[in-house]
Amino acid sequence: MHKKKKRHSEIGVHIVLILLALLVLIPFAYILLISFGKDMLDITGYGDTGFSIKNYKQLFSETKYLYWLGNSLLISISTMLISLIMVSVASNVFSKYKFAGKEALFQTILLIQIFPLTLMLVSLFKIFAALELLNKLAGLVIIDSVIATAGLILVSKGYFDTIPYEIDEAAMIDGANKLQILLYITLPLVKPILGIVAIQSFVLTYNEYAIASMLITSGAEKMTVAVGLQSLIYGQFQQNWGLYCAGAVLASLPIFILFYSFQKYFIGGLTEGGVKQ
Amino acid sequence: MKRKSILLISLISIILSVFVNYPVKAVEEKTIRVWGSEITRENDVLRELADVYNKETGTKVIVIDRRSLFDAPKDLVNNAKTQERPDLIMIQHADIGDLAVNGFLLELDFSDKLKSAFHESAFTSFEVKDKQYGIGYSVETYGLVYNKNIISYDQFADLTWDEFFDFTVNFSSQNHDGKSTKAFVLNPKNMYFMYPIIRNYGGYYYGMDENGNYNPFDVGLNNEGSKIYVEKIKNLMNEGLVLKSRNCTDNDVSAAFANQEVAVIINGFWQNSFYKQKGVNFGFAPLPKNNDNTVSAPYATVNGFVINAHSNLPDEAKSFLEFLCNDENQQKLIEAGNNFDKKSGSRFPVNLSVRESDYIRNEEMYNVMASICENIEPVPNIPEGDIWYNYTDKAYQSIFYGDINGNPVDSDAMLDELANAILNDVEKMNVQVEKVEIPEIAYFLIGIFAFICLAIFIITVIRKRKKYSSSANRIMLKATFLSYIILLPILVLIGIFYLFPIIHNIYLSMTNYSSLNLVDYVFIGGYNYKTIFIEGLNGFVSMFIWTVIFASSVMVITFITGTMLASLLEKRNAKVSKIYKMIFILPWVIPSVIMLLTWQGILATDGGALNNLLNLLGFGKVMWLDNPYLARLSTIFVVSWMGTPYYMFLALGFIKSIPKDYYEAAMIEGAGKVRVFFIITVPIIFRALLPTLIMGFIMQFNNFGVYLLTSGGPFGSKLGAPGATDLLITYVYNLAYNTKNYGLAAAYSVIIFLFVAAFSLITMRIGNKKFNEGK
Repeated sequence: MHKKKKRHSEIGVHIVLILLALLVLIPFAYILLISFGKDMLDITGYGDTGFSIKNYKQLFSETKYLYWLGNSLLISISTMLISLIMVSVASNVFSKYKFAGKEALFQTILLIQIFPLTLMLVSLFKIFAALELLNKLAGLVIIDSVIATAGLILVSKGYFDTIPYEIDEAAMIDGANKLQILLYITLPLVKPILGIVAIQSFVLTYNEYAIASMLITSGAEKMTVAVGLQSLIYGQFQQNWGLYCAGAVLASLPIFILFYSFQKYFIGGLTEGGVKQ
Repeated sequence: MKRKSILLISLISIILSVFVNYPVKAVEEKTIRVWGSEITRENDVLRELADVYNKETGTKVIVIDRRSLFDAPKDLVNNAKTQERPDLIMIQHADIGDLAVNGFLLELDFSDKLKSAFHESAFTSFEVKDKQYGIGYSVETYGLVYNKNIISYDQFADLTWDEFFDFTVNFSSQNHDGKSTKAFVLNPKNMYFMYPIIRNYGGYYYGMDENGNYNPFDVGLNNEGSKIYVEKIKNLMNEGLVLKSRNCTDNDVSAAFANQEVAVIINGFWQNSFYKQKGVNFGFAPLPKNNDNTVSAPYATVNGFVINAHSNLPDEAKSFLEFLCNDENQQKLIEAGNNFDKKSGSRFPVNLSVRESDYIRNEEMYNVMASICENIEPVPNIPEGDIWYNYTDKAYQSIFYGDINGNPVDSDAMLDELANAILNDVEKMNVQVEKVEIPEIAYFLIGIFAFICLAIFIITVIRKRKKYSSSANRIMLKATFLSYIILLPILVLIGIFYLFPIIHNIYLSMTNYSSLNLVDYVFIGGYNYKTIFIEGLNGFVSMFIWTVIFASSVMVITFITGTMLASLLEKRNAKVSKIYKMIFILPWVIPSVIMLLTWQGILATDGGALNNLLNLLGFGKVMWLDNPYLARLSTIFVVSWMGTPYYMFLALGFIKSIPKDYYEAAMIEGAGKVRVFFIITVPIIFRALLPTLIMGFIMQFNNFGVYLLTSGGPFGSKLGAPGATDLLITYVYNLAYNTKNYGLAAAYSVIIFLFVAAFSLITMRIGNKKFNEGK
């Protein structure tokens, strides 16, 4: 009886997983299909659907795709690194130190994110112009790091909170200063959340469109992937969905790779840290 | 140790490489910057011409590939005074209204010799308020495209519109090759193509005054002529010569022609390769004549060049422009724009000698264009020019197809509503507001207010610290000092990029910043807020409720699904689980912009992949994005689909920490696996992820991606009201683009922000209380 029940539930689980997997794969397959089409005129598939890799070739020969990919990767990695540093430091301070105005400051950081950035593009542009960061990738890195940090401080602080202060105290008794505690004791314990911060900040920068399109106006070579791809379908004449989808497929590869290598960091789970709940 | 330091060095160099600026060489020769076209070949020719120009004059010319000509106006406004400002810009004529009015364009003076080399439309299209601001380069318009195998030109040449319609009605009753083909089909929602027909019967968009300037306060879309036009199209509908479904688009018209179901359509000449592929033997013809035998003037867009008024080298820019305008160079540019021998572009020249060249005359399409382009009507280039985009589609949809449930709509009333909506926006754009002088006493009061806040803050802090001993206070002071120093860089950055824009937005909301006042906007106090409250908030409350529902539903679905997936995957063996994990991160991995457009393609009512599949299986079409309720469900679904992977991975991290004893205890008590999931797993993960969920809620509340999916969703017949899937943020965005009154939009954003901030603060207080009570 018991075994029968187990097999039923096993099969049930498998069915659910497979259905959901299909749900996820189908749109991706759709994009793949269009990317291999010969002459796609519409995202809904008007045009010739013969199989060809012409689009992939065209991506590299006719557009500045390599530049876009390179730019996106560069700013995403930089943002990831900068965000990691900023988030670790900030969460450490918010989590462990007691200081005046801590609650208020924390809530303020939270609340100001309610204002959507897409409506603030004009003001942002003025700031960038004043700081002479227009058309420079560094500008994108800075703003994306700020967005990522502000967004991730909340969840990161929560995770830092789960580490008992006793550990810090033990280290302080042994003579470590605050920086050493952060680097050698706290950070190894919070690897899971660092992994999430890294991936989320990377993905956020990689996918970011509104700000990137506003800041980079001087030509196709400085564009990021998201902006560059839009240019393939947004102009007056060209509506090349085949190219667009080919670009999208290739653009998703770096994140796959990144994800694969970072998996162990946050799938590891809490039990690895020597922290008892 | 060595590996770590190598890693560290490489990481630092990556970061630095982004920030390194190559030192700018002091350029001795004068350099002008040209914002070119979207077509690389054209830009390459521009560069060749730039080299020639450089040799002749010593001025260096940099040509920049532009992403899209549609971006030119906005980018010019933003970059007009910066270091990398453009000097010469390629732009569409319809976009120059705002720019001219706000002083971004240099007034130009062309010699008579130059004027005689171009068709007059090259100049009239770039004229604003009787001043010349640019010169045309190519023109784009439309005409009739017909299938030579089904019909011959003689059959409908030289007919007037009425005669043409009669002809098509009678034609459709005949049968060709066993397939019944209609003579004609049109998309009545697209005013761009329909305009010559509207004019034929006496309707018009904006009236013209004696000087040939458009008067935006004279809207003719609801006059007698327009009413006759509506009747005529309704007759054609009865004869089956109009697209049947309310959601049909120009693509359907084009597809019908490509599939040889229709003999003649009104279209531009840019889908030739599509028709060629489908093996259609097509030809072009000018539009039928007006009923009074004058030539029909189709709407047209003229691409041309303007000069940045803030340019440092205006004379050099003018001289390069004149160089570009000489006949040979125009020939080279046009040929490049049309892909040389392939002649696959639709860049039709305005330069008369190029028009007469063999390149043009030997190609049938261009030949026909030549006759059409003798009489075109450039789309109005005044700032109020594109207001019609926001309304005509929906208005004509209601008039010809009834409301969302198919019930007929009173056309006259709808036309009046259309005209009024347009007029309203025109008035809002042109609102004259008196500058409000800020009295000195206001500064004084604000100062006192800030002082009182600071005093209260300090007093509370002191009071709190009195509770502790003096040594504790000293430690606290030291800790505070230290913390703020450490946090300083982060706080400064957040202050610059978050706080400043918010404050700036609040400031803008109290000015008359709009497309007519891009530079010289003045403080007008609470005028915008008064407008918002007087007008009543058009469906604001229901939009707010929908936004809350949307954000909460998405969070609930992504959280539950993510946790469920995490708990299901946790127990599988490692290999299977790895494969599934790779699959499930897909929605997260593809940039959201692309994903949203893809889903739009899949869910499109006509021609969408999902409906195609349903058709194959024998089911009918489902209006995923066109029925208000389904559209709402679809947006929730798509956004949840894209967000679930994130929560799945977060949950995976936490789920391993749940002690097994909990599960065993529950199962001993007889709970099934599903109940265990909901009683144990969910609450624990919920508590752990609560902060993320709150952040997620805020992000979904401001999810602009929805706009890419539905543009705000199916709209009711009330023009200007929010659509079914309009979130607060998308509505404000639309508003900003309808009325181009950015100050008003900023005021809306501030109000939304205050609402949501209050809402969040209250929720947090309640949440904290409950949390503490629960402890």
